[in-house]
Formats: sequence, structure tokens, C-alpha cells
Amino acid sequence: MRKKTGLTATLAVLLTVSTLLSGCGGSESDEAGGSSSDPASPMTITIANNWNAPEADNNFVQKYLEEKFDIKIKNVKFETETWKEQLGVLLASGDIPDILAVDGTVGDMVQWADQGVIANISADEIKQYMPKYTADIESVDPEAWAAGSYNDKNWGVPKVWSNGATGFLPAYNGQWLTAIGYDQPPKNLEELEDVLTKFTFEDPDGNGKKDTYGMTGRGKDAQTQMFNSIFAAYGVNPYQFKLGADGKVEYGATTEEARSALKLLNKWYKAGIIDPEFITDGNGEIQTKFISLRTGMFDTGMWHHLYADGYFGLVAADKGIDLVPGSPLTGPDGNRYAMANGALQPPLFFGVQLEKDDAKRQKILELLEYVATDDTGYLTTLFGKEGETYDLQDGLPVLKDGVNAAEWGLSFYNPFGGKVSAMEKYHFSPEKIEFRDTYTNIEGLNVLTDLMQSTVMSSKAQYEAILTTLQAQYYIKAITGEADTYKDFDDFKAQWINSGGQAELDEAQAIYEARQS
Amino acid sequence: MNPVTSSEFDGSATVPKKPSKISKTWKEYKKCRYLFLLLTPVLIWYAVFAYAPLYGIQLAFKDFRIMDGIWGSPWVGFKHFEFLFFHSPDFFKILRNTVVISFYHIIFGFPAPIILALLINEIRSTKFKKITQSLTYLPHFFSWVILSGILLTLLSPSTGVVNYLIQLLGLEPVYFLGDPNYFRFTLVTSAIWKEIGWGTIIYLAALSGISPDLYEAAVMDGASRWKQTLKITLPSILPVVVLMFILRTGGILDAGFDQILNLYSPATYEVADILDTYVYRVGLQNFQFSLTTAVGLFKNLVAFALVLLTNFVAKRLGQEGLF
Amino acid sequence: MKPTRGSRIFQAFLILFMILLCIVMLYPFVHMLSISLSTPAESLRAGIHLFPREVSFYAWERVLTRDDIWIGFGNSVFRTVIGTICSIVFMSMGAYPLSRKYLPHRSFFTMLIVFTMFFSGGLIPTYFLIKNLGLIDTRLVYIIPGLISTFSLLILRNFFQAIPEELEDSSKIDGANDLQILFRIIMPLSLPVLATLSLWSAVAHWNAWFDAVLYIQDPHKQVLTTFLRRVVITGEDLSIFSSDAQSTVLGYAEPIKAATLMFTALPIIVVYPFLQKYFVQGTMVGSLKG
Repeated sequence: MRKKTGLTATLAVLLTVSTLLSGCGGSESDEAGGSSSDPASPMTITIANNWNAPEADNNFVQKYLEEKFDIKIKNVKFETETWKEQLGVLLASGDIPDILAVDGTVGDMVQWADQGVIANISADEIKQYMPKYTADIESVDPEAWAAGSYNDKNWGVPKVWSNGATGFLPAYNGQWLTAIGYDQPPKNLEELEDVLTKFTFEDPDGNGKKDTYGMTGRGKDAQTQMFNSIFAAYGVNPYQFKLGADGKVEYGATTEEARSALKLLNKWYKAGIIDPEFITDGNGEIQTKFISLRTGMFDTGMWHHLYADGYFGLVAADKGIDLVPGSPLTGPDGNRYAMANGALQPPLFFGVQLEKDDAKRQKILELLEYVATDDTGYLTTLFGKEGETYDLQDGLPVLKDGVNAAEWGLSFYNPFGGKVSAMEKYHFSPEKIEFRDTYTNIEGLNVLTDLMQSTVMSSKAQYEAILTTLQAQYYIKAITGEADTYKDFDDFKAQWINSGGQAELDEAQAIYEARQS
Repeated sequence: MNPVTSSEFDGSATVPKKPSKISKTWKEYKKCRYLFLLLTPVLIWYAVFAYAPLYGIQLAFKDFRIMDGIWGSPWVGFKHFEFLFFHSPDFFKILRNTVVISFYHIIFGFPAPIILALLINEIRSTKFKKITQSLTYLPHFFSWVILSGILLTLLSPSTGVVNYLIQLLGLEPVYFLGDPNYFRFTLVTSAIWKEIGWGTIIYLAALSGISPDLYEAAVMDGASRWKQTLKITLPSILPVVVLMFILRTGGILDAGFDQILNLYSPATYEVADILDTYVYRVGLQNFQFSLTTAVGLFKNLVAFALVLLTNFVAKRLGQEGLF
Repeated sequence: MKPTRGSRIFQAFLILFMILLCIVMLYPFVHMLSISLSTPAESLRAGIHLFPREVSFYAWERVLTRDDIWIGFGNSVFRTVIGTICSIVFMSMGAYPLSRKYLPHRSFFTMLIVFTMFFSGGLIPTYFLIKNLGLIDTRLVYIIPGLISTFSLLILRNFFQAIPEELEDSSKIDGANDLQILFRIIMPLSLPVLATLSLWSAVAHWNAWFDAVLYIQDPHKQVLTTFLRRVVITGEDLSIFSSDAQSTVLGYAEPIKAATLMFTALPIIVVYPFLQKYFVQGTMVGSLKG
């Protein structure tokens, strides 16, 4: 009994302090989204970006845009990795940025739209204020508006990345190809099998040891890319929705084509021409193994990764390896296919307060049109000032020595950097463009993209995590032979359907039919 | 802090013989006024930084809507818990993985630094002792992102040095990171490798508190080194060990998120997918503050219950508990 | 005391075991150091890295000539030193009263503190709190919210508890109050555990990044880990690391990551030997006799 007195005292104090402080927190969210359009002073536009944070406010690019458009810009700098947490607390405290240039997915878009965080903007208005830009993206992909539409409304300025539409390419160690007597890369699955077998058993690096494999796969992460060239030869990617022969939407993983591909991969695995460590290999390991002369082929690169300054091209050259890009493989049906991510990207979002602020919204659209399609606007926001921060060499802007991009605020204010096809001339040299065209403009090539690419599917949000886990587990087992490709494949298919797969298929079918009508 | 007024208030409401009780309490507090002078700022800190934000727990029972804030979001009862327990098909597999892995960590990982500390303590050469101490804690400073890359190299079945040694012994190479049969073993062993040296620090501090007099007396009685360890060293550090153990049991549902996230692959999901990695993958879809809060609350309730239990058992066994 | 034959054999095995252990422990450190000094191709070579076969100092040059790394370094040193000192003093203030058995309602207060180890309000309420306290974009945000680690406080309390009460009693007879006893007797007697907790606190401060990301926008107040994370996890800053043809930097991705990592890990590793002397056996004995 005696003890109680002190306890109550302490509890009382603790509670008082707690409620006082938490009370303040709760009321905070009332003052949501300050949108001021006082005509006298220039309007303030808040721009948030989770890339290329400028070192200081009032940097060169910021001042340039402020003068040009008679506005004030407020920077919200997010960390690339943790932007979601940062944005979360910011939104909860009621400060929604006007322009949200963050790596949000269509799933995020749905969430934000439902919660009233982002603004819906009519496509017509965007077309009106950004005519050149919309023409540009529609030329890349006529479906460009699909990614941003949800509940029959448009939730931002569409973004496309034309590179995404080009497929993944198989690539080979040129010296090894020569060593086993091939003067050009394999063109179909049979040739590939022969090449991989010889890479494994005929000592292509000539060191007298059996220490090589044909290829490895991306089994640790990004399984969409795991052996993608082999799956593609069968006309399928296990992680994409596709249209079946009967006109019904199918999911790649459960198709007969995928079953056949798994069967072949299992045969190769048993033959020992696939590196058994593919299970724990990511792209870094694939790169390492290729330049360490352990594997002679990989298929997780797109053309720009294979080019001399790319992720694979650069280190291969450094190591003296002749990297030979191949062409997509011809499969059993006689056609050539390549897997691609697709050009569609989630749109550029605006804070909900812009729905009501016409003047500001239009001003922002004008600004975006300028930085995306005007040569000066584009170059200034991405490269700074000619002669001071960059020089044009053969038409290509090259940053000068000692220029700190963050100090000048480069790239932060232009969410469309590298995403406008008319501006490619500032990023790619003619040689690079030629390289791209050689390896991607292939006659008779079918590029496999997801039928539901960047499409809002509520069933996917619900089941995707579970289904992809299921799929990834079975696929690895099927390749290593722990599970077979007959009954176990059927079991996997049934389990996939029952764990939410059917709901995904139904929704995909409905979306597809709605699009056709 | 003002204990007097509050205790008067409380006393008058409940206790009839108030004056003596209150004055007794008051006297006790007054006697300890310097202690309270020290304690009060600490309690205020706790009130502000630990207790004030607690209202956020309600998110576990709400659907968090950013624009409505924490207080304004709609209540949904046990929806998130229901989702977790009944609608996620693999929940019990995941829970089992979590507990099993964590259990291994406790069984093997908990005693490891104690044993190492005792061994280091046995080293006669002070210089060598110091060097060993300084080197064993190095891996602690590298995150799992970094170490996973290094482990991949060391444990590779074809080129890794570990398998090279295994093959020298005439055994088959082992795919430590790709074979579900070995994966948990690899997790626990690599965690011990990373943290064993760092873990010894607290025990070394405890060991350094033992009076050499005790050992001298034991030597006089002719006790062997082993006997000394059993009769003097272990009992002297036992309170610290018990304390660490009680605190460790609270982490039963933390099976090493960072480590697993960086080391697992689809081939090992079925033995390695734990509560945290599962929520991470599911939560990737959107702002899952509510689900995350619910999982956190579930984990904390279990942890709290376990700590109370171990504390109770420890006290029953005659050890100093937490409270 | 003469070592017996058995104990000499034991010592021999012990030393052999420890040497093996040290080799195993040393490896990741050597590996990263070697990578940081490698050329691009060498850094991507599969296998064991003890010493780079092709040495290049490019990565270290890049890392050490960056301004923001040094700004971050300064802020990290600030928060580590000040934060650790404040923490130790503050936690001692809490641990000492709780270690005294005669403190009224002692187990209740302890319970109150233990409770917070398990329940927290989460990200958003904490952010509001920090915002309302005006700590956003101030360096104080590195010190105040993290003043106490309940875990450490409890350990400290248990160590204080183990100090024989006779010591205290004799001082009380001399007229010392609890404050004087804490600072003049208890803390000096607890140097080993205080050294341990300082090390824990210092390492936690040195490695902390989330508070910096959430509460600090001003680049001049950022800490080293923010840059470390950008470089190691995102690879974000590689492109602005220098104006060298971007491809050179891209090729040096791994060495630059390794060098940044070593740069971050080294200072705290160097500090340890200075704390080590407190772990030497028998600190208690002198004060007990004297």
C-alpha cells in the first residue's frame, strides 16, 4: 500500500509530460499543404528528389530557373535509399512537396492517390502545356499514359525510358569463342549448348585446369533476369504476363514454354555447363566471374552495359577481354525473342495541393517542358554553364575537371534527365548510337515485355510478395533437379493459382479486355 | 518532480491511517534526496523520449492515412494481426524459422564470447593477450552488406578457401550458402565469427573486477587452474552472464535481419525466411507503417513476456534479476 | 608460482588456437584494405585478396580529397566524443540510484525503464517530438535523443550493485553524500565497465546514420556514415566523385567503396587499444586495500 503513493506521483508526472508532447504531435497534421499564390511575391515551388542532392540552397541551377520563371524554389533533399521514410514523416507533418521526383512505383502511386497525397492532373492539360514532351514520349511508347492512370484519372506527368524497351543481350568472351572454333556468337539454343559445353570442358582459357563454366545465372536477386535469354528463346519470361495462343492472358511462370525452358536448363545443370553457384550470384558476381575467366557467357546486360563504357564493357576491356555481344537466340519455334523491361516508368508526381492551384500547376508544367525539351534548359539543368562547368565536344557535353556537380545543383531540378529521346544526342556519341542500332535493331526480333508493364493491379499488391517467393523457390529447385519439371511443375502451378495467382490472372484479363475495347 | 503533493492526494483517497504512511514515505524520499536529484533528470528524459511517443502504438490497430495523421486514421481493430496470423499462408513456417534460428544463436552464440573471454583471461603473456583482444573484434566493424560479399568468396564451393581446406581433409565440398541443410549452420557460425570478439568486452570488464586475492588464496589451497576457473572465475562473472542472458532472451524474435537479407536466396528461403525479412518483402509494396507497427508490437509483447519469465526464473534460482 | 607441465602444454595450445582465431578475424580487414589499393580489374578478381597484385592509390586519393568526407568526419568526431561523455555521465546518474537497495520504489523505477526497451512509438511520433523540441537541423539531435541506452544503463546498474557496500558506508560516516560517493568512489571503481560502455556508445555514435538522414538537411552538419552509405550501398556519389571521365570512376567502384569503408572504420579501431588498459585484471584491489 505504502508503495503506491510514489508510483502514482511518478506516473502522473510521466503522463502529463507525455500527453503534453504527444498532443502537439497530433495537431500537427492539420496544417496540411500550404499552397500560397500571393500575386505580389513570386510563387514558391517545392521540389523533392531522391537523387543528386545539391550541396547548398541557391545554387547555380536553382537561381537560373528562379530568374527564368520568376519563382522561388525550395529544395527537399532525400537520400536515395531512405527517401520513403523521409517522405513518410514529411507527409505526416503536413508538408507535401509540389514536385515529387522520387523512385515511387505504381504501387506507391495507388497508395498516395488513395490517401490524397498526390494530385490528379488531366492529360489534356499536360498535352497543352507540354506539347513537345508529350509528343516525344508518345513516339517512344503510345501506351505512355498507361502507367499513370488509376481510377480513370491521370496521376502525373508520364515518364518513359526508351532504353528499357531494348532487350537484354547475350554476351560472350571473344577469345574463348575463337579458342573453341567459333568465329561468331551462337545463334540458336543448339549452338549455345555446344558453346557452353566447350567453354566448360575444352579449357578455353588454356590454363590446363578444368576451372571454367559456360555461364552462371542471376539467382540471388532480380530473378526476372535469371537465364532470361534461354527463357526468351522459348518466347517467355517467367515474371511477365503474356497473351496466350487462345487470346487469354497467361502468366509466364506457369506456361508450357517455361516448363520446356526449365527442362533444358536442368539438363544443362546436370551436364555441368551451368555454374552451380548461380543460386547465390547477383549481377556483381556475374561481372566478377566473367572477367575472372570463370564463365564465358552472360545475359544480364543491355546494350549500354556492353558498350565500352558500360558496366560490363568497361572492366572487360580493362582486363583485356574481348567482349562480343551476341544476338538474341532463336528458339524451338524458329523465332528470335529478347526479354525487355519495357519503356514505361511510373510518372512524375505532384503534391495534392496543386489540384486547386491552377496558376502554380501550369507554371510547373511550363517549367518541366522547358527543362525537358529546350536545348538550353536541358543542358543547363543537367550540365550547368557552358565553358564553366562543361564543354561541348563534338556536340557532347563533357563536365570539366574539378567541377562538383552537387555544388552547382546539377541534375536535381530535371527529373527527365536521360529520359527524353530528342535529347539523346547529348548523352550518346554517334559511335554509341551506332553500337545500339547494330545490336538492337535486329530483323525479325520479338521483344518480350510484360503485358501488365507498369500497370496498376490491386491483386498484385496483395499477392505479389507471396507468389514471387513461391516461384523463385520452385524455379531454382527445378533447375538444380531437386524438383522435377513434370508433376512438381503441375503442383507449383496449382499452388501458384491457389495462392492468389488466379486473382491476378482475372484482373489482368479484365484490364486487357478493357484496353482492347 | 514533486512526490509530496501527489502522495498526499493518493493517500487521502485510499489509506485511512494517512499521516504516518505519508510521512514515512516522505522521510524515505527525503533521506534519498541526492539519489532523486540524480534520478530525476533521467526519468524526465525517459518521459520525453521514451514515453511521449508511445501513442504511435495505436497505429497497429489503425489503417494509417498520411493525411489524417496518427490520431485521425480510422480504427481497424485487429486487422493487421489477422492478416499476419491467418492470411499470410506461410506465417507459421516463418515464425518457426525465426524461433529456430534465434534459438541456435542463443545456444551457440551466447556462450561463445564467454568462453573466449575465459580463454583470453588464461593467456599469460600480457602483450599477446592485448593483441588477441584487439584482433578478434575487427569483424564487428563491417556491416553484413560488406561481409556477405566476403563470405561468398570464402565459402564458394569451387574456389573458396574453406572448401579447399575441407577437400584437403578428403571431404566433399559444401555449398554453405546455397544448400538449405547447411544454411542455418552458416548463419550462426558467421554471426559468431562477426560478434564473438566484440561480445567478450563486457565479460573481460567483469573478469578484471575479480580480486587477485581470491586466486592467491586458492593457489595456497592448492587449487588447480581448472578448479580456480570453476570456483572463482565463473561465479564472479555469473551475475553479468545472467543479466546478459535475460536481456538476450528479449531478442528471441530477432533472428538477424541484416545478415539474412544479405545472405539468403530463393534456394534457402524455406529455412531462412524470418518475420523481419517477410515483412520487408511484403511491406515493399507501400507505406506499411501500420503493418510494421503491428509486427513490432507482436514481437515486443513476446519479448517482454520472455524477459519477465527469465527474470522470474533467475530470481528463483537465487540470482540477481533485472528488477 | 611455477607453471606445471600440464599448464605449459595448455598455454601452448591456447596460443596456437588464438593465433588461428586472429588470422580468421583479421581476414575481412585485410581483404578490404587490399581491395581499396587495387586496380579495377584486380578488385574484381575472384578469390582471396591479401595483397593487391596490381596496386593503385587512385581510390584513396579520390576519397581523401573530398571536402564533404572531412566535414562528415568532423561532425562524427563531435557526436562521438561529446555524445559518449554525456551518455556515460547521464547513465551513471540513472544507474547509481537504481543500484542502491534502499531507494524507495526501486523495482518500480527499474521496471519503468526496462519497459521502454520493448515498446516504442515508432518513426512518426518521434519525428514530431524532435520537431516540436526544435532539434531539426541542429547538432544537438545527435546527442540528446540518444543520451541513454537502457541496455547499457542496466549493465551499469548491475556493476554498481556489485561494489561492496562497506566502501560506501565508510565514506558516509565521513559525511559524504550520494553525489560525492558516485563521482569520487563508485565511478573510479567502475572503470572497466565504464570503458566498456564508452566503447559501445562511441561505436554506436560513430556508426549511427538514420538520425542524420531523418533530422538533418544541412550538408555541413552531416556525419560520415551518410557518405559511407551513399558510396557503399547506393553507389550514388560515384558519378560526382570527380570530374574524371566518368568511366574511370565507375571502374574504380569497388576500390572506392573499400577505401571509404576503411576510412570510416579505422578511427574507431585505433581507439580501442587506449581503452584496453582498463580491462587489465585487478583494478579493484588497490582501492579496496587503500
